[in-house]
Amino acid sequence: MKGKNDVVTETATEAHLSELQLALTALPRQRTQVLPALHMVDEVYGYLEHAALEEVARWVHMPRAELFAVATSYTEFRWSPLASDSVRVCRGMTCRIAAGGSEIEGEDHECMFLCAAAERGPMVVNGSRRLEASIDDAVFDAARASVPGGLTRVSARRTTDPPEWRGWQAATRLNQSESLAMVERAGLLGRGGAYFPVHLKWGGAVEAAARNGQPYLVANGEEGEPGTFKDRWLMESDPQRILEGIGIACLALGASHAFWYVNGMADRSASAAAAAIASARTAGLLDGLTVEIRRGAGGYVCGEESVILESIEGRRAVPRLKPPYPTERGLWGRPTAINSVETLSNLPDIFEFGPDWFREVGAEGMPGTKLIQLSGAFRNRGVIELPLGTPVSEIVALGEPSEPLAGVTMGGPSGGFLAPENFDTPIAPGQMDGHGALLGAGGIIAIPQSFGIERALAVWAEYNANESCGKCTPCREGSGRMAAALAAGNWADVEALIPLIAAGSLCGLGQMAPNPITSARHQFGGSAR
Amino acid sequence: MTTETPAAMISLSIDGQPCQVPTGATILDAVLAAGIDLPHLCKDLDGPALGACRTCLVEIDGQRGLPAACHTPVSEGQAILTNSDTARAARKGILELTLSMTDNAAHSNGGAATELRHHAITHEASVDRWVARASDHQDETNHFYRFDATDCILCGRCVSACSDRQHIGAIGIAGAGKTARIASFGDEPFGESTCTSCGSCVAACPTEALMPKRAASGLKTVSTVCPYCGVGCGIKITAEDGILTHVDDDPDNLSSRGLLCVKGRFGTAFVNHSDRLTTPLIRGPEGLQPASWDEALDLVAEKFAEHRNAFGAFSSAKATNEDNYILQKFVRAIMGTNNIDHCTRLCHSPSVEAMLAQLGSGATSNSYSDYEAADCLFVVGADPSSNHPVAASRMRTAVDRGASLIVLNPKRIELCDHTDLWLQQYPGTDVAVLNGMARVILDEGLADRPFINERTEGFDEWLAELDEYTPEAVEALSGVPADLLIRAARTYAQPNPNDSDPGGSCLIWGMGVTQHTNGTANATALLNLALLTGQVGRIGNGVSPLRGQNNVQGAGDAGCIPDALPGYQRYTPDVLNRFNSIWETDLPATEGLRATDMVESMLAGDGVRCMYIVGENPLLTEPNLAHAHEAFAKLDFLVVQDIFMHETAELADVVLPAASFAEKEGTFTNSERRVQRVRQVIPPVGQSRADWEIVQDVARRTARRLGMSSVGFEHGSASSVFDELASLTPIMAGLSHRRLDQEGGIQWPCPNADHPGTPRLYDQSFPRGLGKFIPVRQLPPSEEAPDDRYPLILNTGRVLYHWHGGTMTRRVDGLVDSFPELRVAIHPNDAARMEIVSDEAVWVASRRGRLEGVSFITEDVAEGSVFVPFVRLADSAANWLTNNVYDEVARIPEYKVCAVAVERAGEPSEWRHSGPGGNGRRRGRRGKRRQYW
Repeated sequence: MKGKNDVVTETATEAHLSELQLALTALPRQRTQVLPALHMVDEVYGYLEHAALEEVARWVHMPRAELFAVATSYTEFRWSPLASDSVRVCRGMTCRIAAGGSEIEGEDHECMFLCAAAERGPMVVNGSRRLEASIDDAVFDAARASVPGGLTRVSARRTTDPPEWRGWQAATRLNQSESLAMVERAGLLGRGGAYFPVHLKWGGAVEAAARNGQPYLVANGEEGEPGTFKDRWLMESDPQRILEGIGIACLALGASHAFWYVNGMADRSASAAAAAIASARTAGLLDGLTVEIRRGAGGYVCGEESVILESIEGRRAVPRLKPPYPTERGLWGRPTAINSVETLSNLPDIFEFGPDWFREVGAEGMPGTKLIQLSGAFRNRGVIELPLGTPVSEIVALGEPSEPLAGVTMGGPSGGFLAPENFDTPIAPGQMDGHGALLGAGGIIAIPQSFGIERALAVWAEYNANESCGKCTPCREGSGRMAAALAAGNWADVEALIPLIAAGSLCGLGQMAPNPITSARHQFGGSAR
Repeated sequence: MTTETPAAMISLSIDGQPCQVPTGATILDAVLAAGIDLPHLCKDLDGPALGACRTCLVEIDGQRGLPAACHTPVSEGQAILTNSDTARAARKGILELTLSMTDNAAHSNGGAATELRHHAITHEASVDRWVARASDHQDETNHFYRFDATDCILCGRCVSACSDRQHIGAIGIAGAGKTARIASFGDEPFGESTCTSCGSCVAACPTEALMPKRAASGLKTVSTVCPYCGVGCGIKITAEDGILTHVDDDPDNLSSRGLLCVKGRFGTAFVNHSDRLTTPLIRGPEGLQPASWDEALDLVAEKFAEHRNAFGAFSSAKATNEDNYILQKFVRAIMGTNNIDHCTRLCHSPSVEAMLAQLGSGATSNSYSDYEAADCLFVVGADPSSNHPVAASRMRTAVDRGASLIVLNPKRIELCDHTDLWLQQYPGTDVAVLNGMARVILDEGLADRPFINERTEGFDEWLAELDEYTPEAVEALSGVPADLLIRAARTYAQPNPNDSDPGGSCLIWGMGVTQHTNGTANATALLNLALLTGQVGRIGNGVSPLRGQNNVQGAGDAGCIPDALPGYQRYTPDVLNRFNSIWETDLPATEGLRATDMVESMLAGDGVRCMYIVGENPLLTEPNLAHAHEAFAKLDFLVVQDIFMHETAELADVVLPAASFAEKEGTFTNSERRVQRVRQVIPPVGQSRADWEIVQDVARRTARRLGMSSVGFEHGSASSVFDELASLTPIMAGLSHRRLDQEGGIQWPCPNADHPGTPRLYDQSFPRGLGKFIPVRQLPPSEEAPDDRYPLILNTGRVLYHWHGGTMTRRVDGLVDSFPELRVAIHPNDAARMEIVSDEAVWVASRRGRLEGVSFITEDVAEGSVFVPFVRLADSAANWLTNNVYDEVARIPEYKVCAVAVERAGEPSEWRHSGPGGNGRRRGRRGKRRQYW
């Protein structure tokens, strides 16, 4: 194993270790700092090195095997250095569509969230630097494009310098129950995908505070679903709006500590968030409120809200058992409200302009707008803000299909499909067609006929199998076999597995893993077989 | 059982049968209570719900989906259907997926009676519904168990046992999705991991993925108490044909609650070792020769009778209360002397002296449950992870919950991994540190003034002595940084400074406090700190000297100490009259010699000339063994009664074979004062007999020769002996074997049969009335200081895999394989200077002797210090080096400090643990760090 460069390597490793030791001194010696510490190791070494992990274990007072178990559960971390001439090729749904049948040599990379930039061929990143640092600005601009024709409410830039936070100012004049009532009157539903009424979530946490202590807020900017990039779009372009929303939510919850959870790859989002926090602090807007940025480290499962809690506490990226629900017992047993950054972005305007203003758009029972992301076989790719209730057909028209469509994906790998004949379905919370098509986070990927629904289905099935966190048996053992059975056309096995995974899995992601299959069969009937 | 407030009940139905369960119960609790055999592969009945295996899915009438019973709470009026077609089909399907994780071929011939196999049958699940995706990873590197991933279903019970119950964290579920696996750090072999071989994972495994290497056999299982340390864990021993084949934990034991360490679970094979003494031996011209019991007992009685005025006895902290009671009664009533002592002299005599003087009683004030309830644990001069592993697990439970931990120890211990409050003092400077903490507490107004005013005396006199111990002065004396000292003082006094209740702190200490010429002063300084902060008498606080031996508490309670009768009753006329009338004798009223003084008196020529050593091996455990050997060699007559031949027995004139803990009835009293039943599992090995039975025979025969009455040495059972002990010992008056059998262990004081026992002492007052502050000053740290010739300080102690001198553990293969050689821990800088590499043979020499060991280079010891465990391995023992100088008050030897020199002895050792790939070859290079060594 030992070669002539051993001495050099050893010296370099020792230098890395000293650098890491110095960096770690900035972190409190608590388990909650595990993810920040692992990101430090990744920064210093370019991968997770064993001696460095032992150093982290010592620093946070954690058994090293437990730390290893935690670190290996976050699938974005590397365990060996990336070669300087490496080529990373995106294997997200959109990039598979963009690649057509062509294959590009390189290291497989799960969705890079540059979906809107993918046109001909998948996104390819050269070199060994961190992902976003390796991407050209031009590509980035394309990936964060806006699709013309939408509204500019939540997407209207609020950031000023110094920040003013007029919505938050209004909220400071309300007491907790008035704030809750404000949100209730607005009828704001969570934009993360579940569309749960925000006032009920907050109300639950406030009510549990008497039993379980002061609530925490988690701003969810994890965004790990292929075909979605609106949270990044928001965080990079208008982080102050989100931060103001965090401030308002904390007032309503009676929270004094918020975690802003940003996807591990989304470096630009994280630095924009940090800059927003710094400037708000300078402006005196964050007095009495701690906002900590935490970074994920990959895996679709990180979008499951209880996984975010585990991650913040420094534990493996696996879901918690429910009940108790986070609003009852979340972070460290205290009530915790988890809101997506898009949800939070709606708050400043609601508090500045009032609930009636908010309800001016949208449809019955689902007021307001939704950030929709278009990618795949569209000419206009990017983010567009549209009222809830807008028919998919209108959205597809705004996207301008670049070739005949087999259908669109709705709701990502946990969602389903719409066939062109059903495009008149309006976007809405829950099952849009009753058979698996979801609005979810609002990602719509156009599947051209040249690609076909069958391949799209295979992509999602593989994705769900690969992204299973491994905690529970039905999802871990079933999802891979389901993808294989699908590929082999063994529908008997697929049929046998669907109820086991759907009914047996621990978390929503596992339970919804068969959704694309059931949805495709509903939408396309025999053609999906 | 602990008393619980009755919970509100919830009514529901299961498969149509109405039933009631307490609020907070899960559906699984209710279903199992109803006697339904629902699978729950990932739910250990005394572990947390993991929700991973999904084999306990049930249907609830009128609700969508199939909730997992193990983590779904019951609610009023629920109609649970465990056997609906949907639920059963889902469980069957999931069991089939689970089976596909295992190697079906390996089980095609029926497989074993594991939980998985059982439910495969109950659900008619097919083993080959799916093509298996079993891992073929196997790990045989642990000496006690094997891991075979072919059978692993990733339920996580082993990980939960390791992390959530033992709080060790040697294994985890690593990876995600398809790569998920049970793994140690970096997928290293378990044998090289931080695993402590406690076996909790093995006990938790619902398949055969984790299996003991030695298969259990036999149908008879007996609940008894572990024979090793003072924690007193419950063990359930299975035996067949007189051989112990398996040990399981005992969840019903009130002290251990189902936890065990490696020695308890895997360390009892010594009982059946071929080295067991099976017949009496008498020294003849050819050395020790087998003899009949009659011959041996007559000779012993004759010689004892001859030496009635020059007699002494060592009793055994490994023997039962009954054994100890009869021995001290013999020594006092027949031999007419109080020359009776035991190893407490060598461990906690200073703690007892200090506690008697300051509090009025010499025992631990609290219970292990207080460690779990504490907000701060202050662990001084102890390494519970090695020496009281189950107590350490309970401490880590508190720390993982958020309690603060302060460690004061010159050597890094495992608990240091859990805190940044490690105070590493120079050896022998504890008083300075503790006085310094007291001064900080006073200066910062953190003292508990009401407690001091109402419950203590001597405060002002003590206060006057603290002036000089400023943090800066203490730093200079002890090497403990002033800021760390201040943080530790604040934390101990008020662990939760911002709460209305500032929190409880447990003070826990061991031999590092006592085994010094300053031992009593150290213990006094500790107790002063507890009095200053009022950290005694409440839930979650208290003072705990961790007792080393399984029954060291009981040996003292039963009267095997030279200065008091059973129950710590002093030689006052009242007490003597009572004992004289019941024992029909005339007891000596003067204190006897202490163990260490008996040894010194043997050398004097006119002192002790005849010794009866029951279950101790002083020629391994006394300091300066050459000196002790010289003393014992001068005796006229030496009788040793033990289960094995050992260093002391080799000098004996008569050796009597004793039965081990597994071969007799009786009681042990553990470190939390809990008296627990020891039960016979197998018949005595060979001709061995219980100690108390042998001593009764010796007593009767000696009495006859002396023309004395032998009444009172005619007990027919251990239970009868205990009844006599209880009748004379107020603190245990309410106890009997029968009561202990019915209720489980009970903590003394238990003054009458209706008394529930006492988990916590001193809540209202101290036995002496007021607690007493006693001023103590930092004296020279040790008798012997390093110099040019012996430049290093030797510290001694114990290791996880061996017990004490090793008489028992050296006879358990797995323990020896886990720790085969005497390791000499050396700081890297010292090692570099001496050109010593890791894992090579080294000599360690003091003015008194020399031993050979194997170097272990580690920053766990301070520069200038070396550590050697005092277990005898490969014919080396640390007590060849230690110094026979004593604490003036308690007469404990200074085991913890002496001056030594270290040098290379020869070629590197081939011990399997040698560092990773050539790492050890650089001079002074750090060895691979292991938690326990």
